Amino acid sequence: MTKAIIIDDEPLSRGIIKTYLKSFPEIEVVEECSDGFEGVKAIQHHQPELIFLDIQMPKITGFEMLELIDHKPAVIFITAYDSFAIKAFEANAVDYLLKPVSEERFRNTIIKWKSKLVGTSPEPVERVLGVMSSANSQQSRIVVKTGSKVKIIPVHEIRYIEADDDFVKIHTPEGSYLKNKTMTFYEQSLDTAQFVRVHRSYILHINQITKIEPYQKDAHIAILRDGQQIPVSKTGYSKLKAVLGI
Amino acid sequence: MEIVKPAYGWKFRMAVLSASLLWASFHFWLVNRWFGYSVEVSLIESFDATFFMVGASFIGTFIAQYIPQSSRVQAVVLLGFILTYCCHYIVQESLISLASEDSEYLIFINQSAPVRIGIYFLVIAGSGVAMIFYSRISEQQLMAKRESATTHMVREAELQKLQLQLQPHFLFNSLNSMNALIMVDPAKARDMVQQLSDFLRATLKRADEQWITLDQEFVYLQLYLAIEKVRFGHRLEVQAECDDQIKLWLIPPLLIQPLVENAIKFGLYGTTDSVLISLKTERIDNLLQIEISNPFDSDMQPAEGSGFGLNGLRRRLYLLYARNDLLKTTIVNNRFTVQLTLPEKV
Repeated sequence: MTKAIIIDDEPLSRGIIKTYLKSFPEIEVVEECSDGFEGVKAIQHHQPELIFLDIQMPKITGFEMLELIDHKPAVIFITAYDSFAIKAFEANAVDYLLKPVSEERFRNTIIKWKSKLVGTSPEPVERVLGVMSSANSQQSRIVVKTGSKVKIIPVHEIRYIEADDDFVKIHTPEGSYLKNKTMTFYEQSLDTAQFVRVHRSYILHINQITKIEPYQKDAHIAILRDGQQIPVSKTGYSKLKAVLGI
Repeated sequence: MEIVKPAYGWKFRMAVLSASLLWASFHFWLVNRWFGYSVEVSLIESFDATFFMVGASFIGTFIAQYIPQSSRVQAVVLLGFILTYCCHYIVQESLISLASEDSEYLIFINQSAPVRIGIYFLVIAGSGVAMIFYSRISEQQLMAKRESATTHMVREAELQKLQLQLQPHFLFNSLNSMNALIMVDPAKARDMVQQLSDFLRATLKRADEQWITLDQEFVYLQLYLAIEKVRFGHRLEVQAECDDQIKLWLIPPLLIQPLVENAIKFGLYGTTDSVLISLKTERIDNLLQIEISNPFDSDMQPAEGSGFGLNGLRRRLYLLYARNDLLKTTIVNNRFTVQLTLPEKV
């Protein structure tokens, strides 16, 4: 028995997937979710092999939801109209269904998935996520998970981002959150007029800086509003100077 | 008409300065070597004459800027005469007072007067003419820039209108809902096919219309809402009020419906509970006020790419009414409100 979850905010849209799945008795729909938050919980709970995922949903998008789950099932995307996402899927051989979903296309997708012919496996999906989030250059928010809760951080609330082994730690006034992304990713996707990579391990929100003081040779330290000190490397200092216009 | 001032940048100043020095050197060489006067006399004369000539040219071009385009050429000629006379008078008097003991030199100054005057006039009037050409060229460039900006704006507005008419997302989602309904509730599916057809027909009709009545827009809106209600079911509740008195008010098409669509999208976006969208229309003096509001969760920042097309709408309103203050947005008590103020048809 294969466990599957359908995540789509429109009941009729979920209904049609369920109806089509009747021809595949070996696939069992263990839960239906109407938004990404429910999706995260359901995936953690059931650990399904396959999910059907809508992209445009309330609260968080399907792509953002995928960033939050540790257990990565095979994903079949469902979308009404998003030429850019479709390009990303095709480039990475990730399977997707277009609304209105035709039964024939659905059947082919499931058959291909069962024979593992198409990349519904995690790696190509990861690549799609990379393409989609870097396309939204200058992100306006970051979605993180703390315990079982999902938190949406608007980028203007970020104080600084710190490297932490394979993760990054996002510091906000309300606390710090780990995210499975690289420093380079945020250096490139955040607004460069506001966020500066001042050090190999730090990206700083410039509105947090109150003072910059020299420290040892070539190095500086930035002092934040709450008194916190952040190291600034030589190259980081020149980038900072360029952004602040000093 | 706007006055186009020549750009007296540092490059221009350096060019004028070096040209003046060059001219002064030539003048010095002429007086000193050709006519054989002393270094002192030659120096005084060359710098004195060049200084006043260049100064007069500056005064001339400065005044000419403020003279209307139509009579600038005549003005430059007239100014050239007056300034040449002034310049010659000042130079002559200053040279006489500076070198009065040398009678031979005084005769030289007197005899060379026609040549000097000719040169003064050529330089002073010439710089005026150059200024006229310069300002004409910059005016043309400015006009071309403005024209291309307007064309760009019009094109953008056209494109936006087209996108509003097509609404691919809405269309495909509706077709998907119908597809599902055909299996579970064929009667409802037939209803929806009818509604969507009516809606599309009305949308196509809108494409050619410049103005429609508020009443027509409301009928159109009802069609649209009926379809959205099938998709979102009980989650979507809409309150729309339209006073009988203003039913015939003329408004541009594709203005209210896209705003309601945005309100629905953003209202439903932040929550999975049911949402209330309200639409109020009211006449205040000779203005029509339309208010559309939806619940808004400030923690739920919209994701990238789904941003309001409000800026595009603002531009469209500007093209229609030539006003920038017709669209206002507020967030009060977790409700996002768009307020649209429409003057009577212009």
